[in-house]
Amino acid sequence: MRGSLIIVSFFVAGLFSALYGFSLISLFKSDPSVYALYLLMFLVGVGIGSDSHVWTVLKRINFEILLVPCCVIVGTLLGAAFYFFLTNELPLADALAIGSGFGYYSLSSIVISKIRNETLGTMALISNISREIFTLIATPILVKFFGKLSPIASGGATSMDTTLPVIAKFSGREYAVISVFSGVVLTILVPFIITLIYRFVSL
Amino acid sequence: MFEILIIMFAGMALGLIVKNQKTILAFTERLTMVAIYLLLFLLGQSVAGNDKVISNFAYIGWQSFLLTLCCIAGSVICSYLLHIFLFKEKED
Repeated sequence: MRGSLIIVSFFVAGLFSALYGFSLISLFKSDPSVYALYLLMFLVGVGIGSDSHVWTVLKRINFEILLVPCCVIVGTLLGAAFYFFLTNELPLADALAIGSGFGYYSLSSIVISKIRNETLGTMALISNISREIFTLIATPILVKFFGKLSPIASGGATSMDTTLPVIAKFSGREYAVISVFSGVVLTILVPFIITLIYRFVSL
Repeated sequence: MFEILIIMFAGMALGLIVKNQKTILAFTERLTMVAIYLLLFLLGQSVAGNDKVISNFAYIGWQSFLLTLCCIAGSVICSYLLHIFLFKEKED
């Protein structure tokens, strides 16, 4: 929770500093954030590659446990498609891409704002932060009505870290492994799925 | 934007190589946070220059929230089905 507050405060600080006349972007001839994004993706890669935890978790792959992140992906995409048909506010590709942040708001908002524009980047930020907050708040209710896997599904990529404690508490410690596994898989897949959606969904 | 995937793979390869170098890893972790903070600061700055976002902020916020609710509902329903068909029998 503290992490998300810090991240939001940087976004808000950027917003207000620019509204009151200080613009870092105008200091550069071309947009500096492209290079910052490349750096970030490289660092995220180093983080994943060097994390022995990630590799031990991925070695535990078996069919049933793999179905959990698959469920989250399918369910999220169906939900985003439902939103598209319900409101017709966004192009389908954008709704799917924002949903495919799976709660990984820092990366998804940045990637989407680069591929598309800052409006959609902002939507990705708000949308994916609310996924984390919703999961933190609603986990007890979700477990009660939809079973012990449901907060893992709701948490998406955050089920490996920020929402893990609350999931372990209400679903039970034996679900913590599944929770971390699902979160790791989704976290790794976020940039792939977003890029693939923009490559192949043209609606 | 496929280049970001290639860059990430390059990072993963390097990560595997420097797996046991604690100081390098601590440094990358810190640098990652700095990059995220910087990028979100810049995102905030570019949003400030976009009147469309500023004047519709509440609306955009609600749309984003609604989208999230749909995504959560979809994945929770899917996981509930999985729970019923696969995981439940194990608990009993």
